[in-house]
Amino acid sequence: MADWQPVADVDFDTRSETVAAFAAALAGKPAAEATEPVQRVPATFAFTVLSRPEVLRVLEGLAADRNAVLVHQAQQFEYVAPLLPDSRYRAVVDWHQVPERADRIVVRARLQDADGTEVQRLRAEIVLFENRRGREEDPSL
Amino acid sequence: MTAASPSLPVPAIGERLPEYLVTALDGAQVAAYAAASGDHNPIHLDEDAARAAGLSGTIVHGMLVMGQFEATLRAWRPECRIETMQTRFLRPLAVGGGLRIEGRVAKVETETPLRLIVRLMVRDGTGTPICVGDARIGL
Repeated sequence: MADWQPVADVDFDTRSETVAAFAAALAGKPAAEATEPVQRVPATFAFTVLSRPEVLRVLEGLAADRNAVLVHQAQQFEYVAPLLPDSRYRAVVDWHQVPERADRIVVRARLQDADGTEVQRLRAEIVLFENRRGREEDPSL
Repeated sequence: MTAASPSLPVPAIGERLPEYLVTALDGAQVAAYAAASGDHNPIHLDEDAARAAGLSGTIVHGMLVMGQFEATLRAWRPECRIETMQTRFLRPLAVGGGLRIEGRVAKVETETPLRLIVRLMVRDGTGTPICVGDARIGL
């Protein structure tokens, strides 16, 4: 059983402008097109909760302890329901150390709608990547 | 491509999705993704910082790569309902690199409602696999 440690409870929203900019960036479209209303929140949008300051503060602290940088290795999403544009959610974020891998952590976010119903779950396995001098190749990420 | 409908045949196991090509994920797109996602990790944006971290240079956000999975699935079946999606990175993609995403139907879990497992693989511009994953989708 993983020993989950709390990171943060985050208010998370899907404002149209934010989602449109994200969708345009994914598609490599000009930023000007991001002003068009979005019909659907991209499936990976919820991952941006891990970039929120209150979450990054904890994750970057874990990396700093090892003089490392954060590199995503694997991601997993489960969708109970799609996120809806212009809606508000609550994300509960926690993490645990990968057993026997001091350089790996798993971060989890569970998104709930205004009624408290869980709508999406995501997990990310993150490498605390340390620069080892003499390295000849990039890591197998 | 038309929207999925009950009249569409059940895909056969092994059916291949149309290849999804991304010519290049260049610095401008990576910067736009950083701004839109809030992920300003310098290994994606700053050559010196990436090298100082031990990488060969800046690398594309993994989630910008994974985000192309949804585009691949919707180019095949625009109205598909994604129930799960997971990926594992094998190698980083240098900023400026291109992608080719391949997919195939690995399993038909149920026919009513139609629910499939699709396996996905991302290759870089040299054809080297850099990411594998799968998705469970409903149609």
